[in-house]
Amino acid sequence: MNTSSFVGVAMLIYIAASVGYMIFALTGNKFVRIAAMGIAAVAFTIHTAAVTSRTIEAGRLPLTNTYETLLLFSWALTLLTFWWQNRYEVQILGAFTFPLVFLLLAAASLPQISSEIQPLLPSLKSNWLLAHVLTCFVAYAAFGVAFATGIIHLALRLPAKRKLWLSRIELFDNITYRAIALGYPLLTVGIVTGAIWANSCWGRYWSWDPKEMWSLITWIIYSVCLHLRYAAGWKGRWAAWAAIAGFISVIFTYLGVNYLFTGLHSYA
Amino acid sequence: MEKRLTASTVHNKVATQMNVKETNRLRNAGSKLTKILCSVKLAIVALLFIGILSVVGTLVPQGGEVARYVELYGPLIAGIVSKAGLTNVFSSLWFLLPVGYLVSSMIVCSIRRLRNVLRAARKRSVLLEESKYELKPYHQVFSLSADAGLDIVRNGLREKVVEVLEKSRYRIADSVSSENTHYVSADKGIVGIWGPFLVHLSIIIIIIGGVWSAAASFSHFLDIEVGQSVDIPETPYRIGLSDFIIEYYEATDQPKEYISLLSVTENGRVIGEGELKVNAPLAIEGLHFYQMKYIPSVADVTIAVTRDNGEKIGEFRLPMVHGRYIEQIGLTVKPAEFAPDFAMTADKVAVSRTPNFNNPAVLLDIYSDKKLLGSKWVFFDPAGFHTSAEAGYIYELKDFTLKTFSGIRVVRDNAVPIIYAGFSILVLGAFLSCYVFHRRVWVMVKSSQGQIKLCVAGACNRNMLDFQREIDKCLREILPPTQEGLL
Repeated sequence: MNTSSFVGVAMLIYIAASVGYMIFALTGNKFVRIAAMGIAAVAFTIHTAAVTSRTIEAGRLPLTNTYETLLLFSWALTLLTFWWQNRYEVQILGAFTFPLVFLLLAAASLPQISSEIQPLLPSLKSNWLLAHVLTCFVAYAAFGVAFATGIIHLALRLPAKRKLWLSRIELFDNITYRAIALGYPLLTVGIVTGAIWANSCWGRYWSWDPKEMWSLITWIIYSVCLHLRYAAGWKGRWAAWAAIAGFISVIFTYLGVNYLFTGLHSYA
Repeated sequence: MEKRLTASTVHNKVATQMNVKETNRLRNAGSKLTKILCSVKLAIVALLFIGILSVVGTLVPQGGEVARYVELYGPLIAGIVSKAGLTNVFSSLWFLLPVGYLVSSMIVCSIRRLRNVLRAARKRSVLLEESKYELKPYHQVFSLSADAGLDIVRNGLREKVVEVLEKSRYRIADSVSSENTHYVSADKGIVGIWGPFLVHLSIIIIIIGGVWSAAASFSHFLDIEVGQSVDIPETPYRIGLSDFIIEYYEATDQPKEYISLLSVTENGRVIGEGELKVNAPLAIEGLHFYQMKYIPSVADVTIAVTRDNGEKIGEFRLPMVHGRYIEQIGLTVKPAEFAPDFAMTADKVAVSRTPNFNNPAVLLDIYSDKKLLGSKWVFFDPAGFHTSAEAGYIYELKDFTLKTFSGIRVVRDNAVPIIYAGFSILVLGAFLSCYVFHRRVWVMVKSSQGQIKLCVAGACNRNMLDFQREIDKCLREILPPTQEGLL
């Protein structure tokens, strides 16, 4: 089996896992939860196989184009989901993150996203590549979790759910904060290593390039998220909306910028 | 550390510390201006404003001519956009005002924060009097009956608390014992309170570095031909390119490395030389050189002309673009375009697939007295398969002269060390802010008439979630199994 067939199979199983977790979210059935967790574990195993086989095929870590980073991003998101589902006892998280993982893998399977293995451009041959790409995508995965818990928080605030889940509302607000706090320093490192790399490659650490600008916009949104905790009455609902806006900005920085603008950062 | 005190001394000690805190808070209330500068809500609004303007800055092309915006948006919106300064967002008042506000806010708040941080570091050993326990974000009270608590009493509950806290890497900050009451205060991760201060400080440093860099740095693009040399603007130096090498990945035409062999001279004396590669800048005399581009450039082409009845006219060397008048045929031939790797796309557009000379072709415009008779792509074709006839003559590409230019950027920017120092502090501050939490725990153990009262209070500057998990875990270790149900 090659990478793309692993991706295809993993994608299908992630759909099943998503459905399983959604049913659990609606019914609270313990057996459904265990089944969904098992299915997700199978999907993750195959997903890991996809990342491994890509690494072997390319002869280097999958960090250099949109296809490879989609695999990496979704893989990190799944890993983080497993970790935090158990750590904070919020199995419902999977109902929101696994559909996201599925969408990322589906995007990787689009014909517009080339899965061809290309030798590295001279400008990508740098020791900064690993630190820059890895920190950015682990940060993105953490922001993906914050996006999910932000949505859950807002959903729990709906009048019908209010009484039932009152104690959980604050929990999801706290997890949103926790996820953003996990990702923020990594995004900071991603931007800083990007700037240092740009300075050693192009002689400028900041070129007002669309990718740079959008990463700064994302960084600003998450800075706002962190400050919202200290503005009386602005946490909770507004923090959740900010986490959602932040993730939209992440996706735009990651994918939108490449297709709407031309710039220095044309590889991924 | 441990002192034996009476209950009233403990009370006094705790109360005095509380009073000092109150006075400090009053002193810190500060002027109205400080209040405005330190408003978190205003800072959030300013940040959002900067964010929105940055979005505008990426959506509206910056620094263009008015005509371009009219073409893009129509005259009405173009007028509004340019009047509102959105064509130069990053130097507009809209952008600079919130940036200015945030910078002054960060300076004022950093000074204030520094005071608070220093005070917190000094006052970490504050003990808590009993009535204050329930005011802390985390608080629990346990009443242990004599039976259940017997083992604990025998082994010393206070000692157990200290042991468990130390195992969780807490530092016992202070502990006071009277006859039947023990107070303990412990903390960890105090270094984390430096995080926000460092982040804000670093942003100020980066902005200072950026302004200095914008004012005092220079950057020039130089296209240098192999074997030639050019003056470096704003310096007394000259830079020469002795060779330009392209390395390819094995068995492909994918470039692996571009290498310029450079030498820098001052009044003819070599002051530095070296190999310049992509991602590996050269530093000579405070100047940094970067390999930016490979520019292959065809200077002229040699065309063989044959009459369409087969009669050879001759070979002519024609400079690119301008071409020349060829007397023998009475026509002017201009080589308009050169494609090193010619191909036709599906919709019949001529392109060059790669920059490599796999299928060179030249587009000839043929004029008679300034009137364009026709345009023809002409190939390098010794076998004569693709003859191209135009205006009664057949043309063939025989040869071309290639000139190789290396695109090099020269930068002098003395602010880079400041920026990098700012970056380092920023990263350190971000990790301290988000990964290291200042956690404080207060414990009071009071025994009277066979009853043991255990009060636990905790505070964490951020991340109550993990703090709560940790304290619950500690309590499970401290309390006997029968009491665990209390959690």
